[in-house]
Amino acid sequence: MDLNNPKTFTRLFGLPMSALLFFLGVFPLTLIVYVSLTDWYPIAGQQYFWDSRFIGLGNFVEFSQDALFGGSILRTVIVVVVAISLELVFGLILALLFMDRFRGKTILTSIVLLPMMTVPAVTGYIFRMLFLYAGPVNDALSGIAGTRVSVGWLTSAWPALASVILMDVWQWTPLMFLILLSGLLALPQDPINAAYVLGASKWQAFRHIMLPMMKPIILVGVVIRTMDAIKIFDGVFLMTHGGPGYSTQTLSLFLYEIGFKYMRLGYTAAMALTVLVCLALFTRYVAIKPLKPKV
Amino acid sequence: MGRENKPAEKPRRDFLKTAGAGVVGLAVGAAAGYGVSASMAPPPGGVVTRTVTETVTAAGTAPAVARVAGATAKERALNGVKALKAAGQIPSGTRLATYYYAGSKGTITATQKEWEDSTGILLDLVEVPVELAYDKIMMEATAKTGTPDVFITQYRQMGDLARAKVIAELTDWAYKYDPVLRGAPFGYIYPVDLQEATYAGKIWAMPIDCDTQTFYYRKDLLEDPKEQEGFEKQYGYPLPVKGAETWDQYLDMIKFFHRPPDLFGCYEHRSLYWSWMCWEVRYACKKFPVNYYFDDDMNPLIASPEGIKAMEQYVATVPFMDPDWPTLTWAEVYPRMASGKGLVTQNFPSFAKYANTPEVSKVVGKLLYADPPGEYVDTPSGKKLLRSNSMFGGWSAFVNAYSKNTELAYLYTQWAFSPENMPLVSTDPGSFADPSRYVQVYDPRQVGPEGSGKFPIEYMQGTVGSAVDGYVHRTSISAPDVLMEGGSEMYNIIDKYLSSACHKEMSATDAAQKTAAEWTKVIERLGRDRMKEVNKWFKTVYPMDVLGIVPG
Repeated sequence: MDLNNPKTFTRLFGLPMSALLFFLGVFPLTLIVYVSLTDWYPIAGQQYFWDSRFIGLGNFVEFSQDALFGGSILRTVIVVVVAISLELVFGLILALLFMDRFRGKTILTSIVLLPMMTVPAVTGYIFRMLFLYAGPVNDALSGIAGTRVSVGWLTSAWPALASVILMDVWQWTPLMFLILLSGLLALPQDPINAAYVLGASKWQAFRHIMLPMMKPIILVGVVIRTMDAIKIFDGVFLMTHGGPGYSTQTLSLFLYEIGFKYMRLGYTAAMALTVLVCLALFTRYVAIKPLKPKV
Repeated sequence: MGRENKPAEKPRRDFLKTAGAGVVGLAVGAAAGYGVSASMAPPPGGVVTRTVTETVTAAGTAPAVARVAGATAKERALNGVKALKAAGQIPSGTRLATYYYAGSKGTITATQKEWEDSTGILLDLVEVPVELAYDKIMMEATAKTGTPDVFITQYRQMGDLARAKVIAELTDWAYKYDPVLRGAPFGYIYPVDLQEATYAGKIWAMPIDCDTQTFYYRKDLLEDPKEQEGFEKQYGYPLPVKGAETWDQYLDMIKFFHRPPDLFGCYEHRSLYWSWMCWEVRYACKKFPVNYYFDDDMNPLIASPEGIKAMEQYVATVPFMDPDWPTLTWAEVYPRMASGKGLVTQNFPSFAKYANTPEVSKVVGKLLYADPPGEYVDTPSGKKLLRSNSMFGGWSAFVNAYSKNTELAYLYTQWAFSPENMPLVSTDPGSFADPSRYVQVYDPRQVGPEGSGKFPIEYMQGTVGSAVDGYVHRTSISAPDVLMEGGSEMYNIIDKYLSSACHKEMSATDAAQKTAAEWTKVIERLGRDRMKEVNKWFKTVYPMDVLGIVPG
C-alpha cells in the first residue's frame, strides 16, 4: 500500500467514516430486512428477534390485504397532494409579493416564517383547540355569517381531514415560500426584461418565462415537502389521534400504532421497508431524473 | 512503458474497492451489533424468579422463603432496603427512576421526601402523557435499557407487559415482604387485589388507584318538583330520583334534561383512548351472572345480541352530549360537569373530590352518587335487574424487569403504596389516585363533609338504596377490563370502532362485528390454546360474590 499516493491516503482515512456509515446504514437496513421476514411479536413472548419465526414474505402478503394499511396510504396521499398543492400556490403568491423591496419587508418576512418555527406537536394542539365545536374558528365563522355556525371540524371524517390539511398548510407554506423566493431571486433578469420590452404583460412574463425557469426549484420544493409530508405525525397525533375512527390515520400514525402499541415488529418492518423502497424509487425517477440535464 | 489501465478495468477496480470497503464496514457493523446484542442477552436461564414451594397457612406452616421482620408493610419494606444495603446490593448513589402519568405527580411526591430521607435513595421522576405511558414502557421490550425502574400504567396492560417480559414478577417478593394485598382493613378493596395486582395467577403489580365507575347526577335537578312533573308527563313514569335503574331510563333522563347550550344530558368519555371505558359498564350487565368478553373457546362475544345492544346503547347517548365530545378527555369533562353543564357524568372516583372543591366546582352539595344502571336479565329465578359495574382504567405500579435494582424497586412500590402511605397518596392535591385500600375509605384525611374538597362522606360511606358502603359496594361489583395478552390492541380496536359508530360512519352492529373479527385475529396471532388457558384464569378475577342483583 503506497501511503504517498494521495488517493490511497484519502481512502484510508476515509475508511473509518465509511465503516461508520455502513454500520449506521447497512447494518440497520439488513436487520430491518431480516425482521420483516419474521413474525417478531414480543407480546407473544418473543423477547428477542432471534426468538421469532422466519415466515418469508408472510408479512408482505398480509399487509397487501390489510384494508387499514391501504386506507392509511390513501389518506396520506390525499393529505400530501392537497396540502402541497395549496402550499405551492400560497408559497408562490407570497414569494411573488416579496420579490420586490418594500417597507417593512424584513419584519413581515419574519412573521411569515413564524409558523415554520413552531414545534409540530404544539401546532397540532393549537389547531385542535381552534377547531373545537365551540372554538374560535366556529366563532369567527358565526361572526361572518351573522348566525351561529357550528361545523364539526373534528367530529366528521372529511372536515377532520381538511383540518389536518389546513394545519399542515399553515405550518409549511413558509418553507415553500422560502424555497420559491430564493428561486425567483436567482432567476436571470434578461429574459424577463426582454419579454417586457417586447410587450408581454406581467402575467405573460410570469407564465411563459418565469414559471418554466422555476421548474427545477418548484420540483425541489415539492420533493422536499413530499418527503416531509408523507411522514406527518406529531400534529395529527395531537390534533385528532387519527380519529374520528380511522379518518385521519395517516401512514406514520398507522405504523406507530402497529409497531409501538401492538408491538407487531416484524409486520411493521415489512410495511416500513416497502414504504422506504417506494419513496426511494419516487425520489429517483420523479425527482432526480427530471433534474438531470438532457444530453 | 507501463501497462496503462484500460477504461473497462478502472470502473471494475473502483467497484471492487468500494465493495471491499463495504464488506469491511458490514463486518465491523455486524461485529459491533453482535457485541451490543450479546450484552443485552438474558443470563443463562432467562429472567428467573424463585419458586415458592410452600404456602403459609393461617396456622403458620414454615415458609420456604423467610418473611422479613416488620409490623407493617411499610416497615417491612424499609427493613428490606436496609438488608439490601447491608448486603452491599445497593451501591452508593443508587437512584430509582420512576415514570408517573401526567397530572398525577402527587402520587409520587406525596411520600418522596420521607422515602429519600429514610433510605438515602433518591427518586428521579419523569412525567409521561397518559395516552403514551404504555407505548413508552413497551419500548423496553426491545430497548431493554432498564430505565425506568418503576413505572405506573393501567392494570389492563399487565398481560401484554408480562408476556413481553417487560415487567418483573413480584410473587416471591410479595411473599417475602407481605404488602398486605388482601382483606380489610388494610388490604385492597375487593377485587382490586385480584384485578390490579395479578395476572395469570401471579403477582405483577402494586395497585395504586381504583377506578370503579360512579354515576354522578345533579341531585338538585332530579329533586325539582317541576322537573319531576314534566318528566312523568312526557315518559309516563316517575323521574328516577335515585338515579336510573336501567339503561333505558338513563336514556330517557338524558334526553329530557338535554337543553343546549347551558345543559347537556350527559358527559361521558367518547374521545379516542378513553371511549371504551364507558362502553364496558353497559356490556357487563347484559348477562347473568356476568357478561364475559369471550366464550370458553376464545370467540369474542362482542357481536352477540347482548354485545350489540350494549353498543347501541352507547351510541344512542351521543346526540345528548356536549358537542365537543369527540375531543373531551376526563381533564376537560371534570370542569365542564363541575360548572353545572351536565345532568350526569359517568366518571372516575376522583371526580367526587373535584366536584366537592368549592374553588373549582359550582355543584358542591348538588350531586347524587349512584350505581350504574343495569339490565333485566334472565336468571335461574326469573328476570332480575343486574347492575354490574366496571373497573375502567385503574393504575398500578410495576417494576421494570430490566432494572438493575428490581428488588429495591419492588420495595419502593410496597413502601410508597402501603396501607400506611396510601391515604397520603390519595389526599395529595397533585394526585388523582383514587382510594384503593379499605383503610382509605374511612380515613378522615380523605373523607370530609360537603364542600371540603375531600371525598364526601356520603360518596364513600353511603349508597343509594343500600346499606352497604357506596364506594366499596361499587368496587365489589366491578367487572375487570380485558386483562389478557393482546388487551391493549383489543382496546385500541374497539376504541376506534366505537368512535366510528358514534360518528355514524358505521352502525353499532357493524362496529361490534368488526371489533369481534379484529379481536379474533389478535387471539389467533397469540395462540388460541394459550389464550383459552389465560381466559380460565381471567374469569376468576370477576367479582362473583356480589353480582349486583337487585333482590325482589
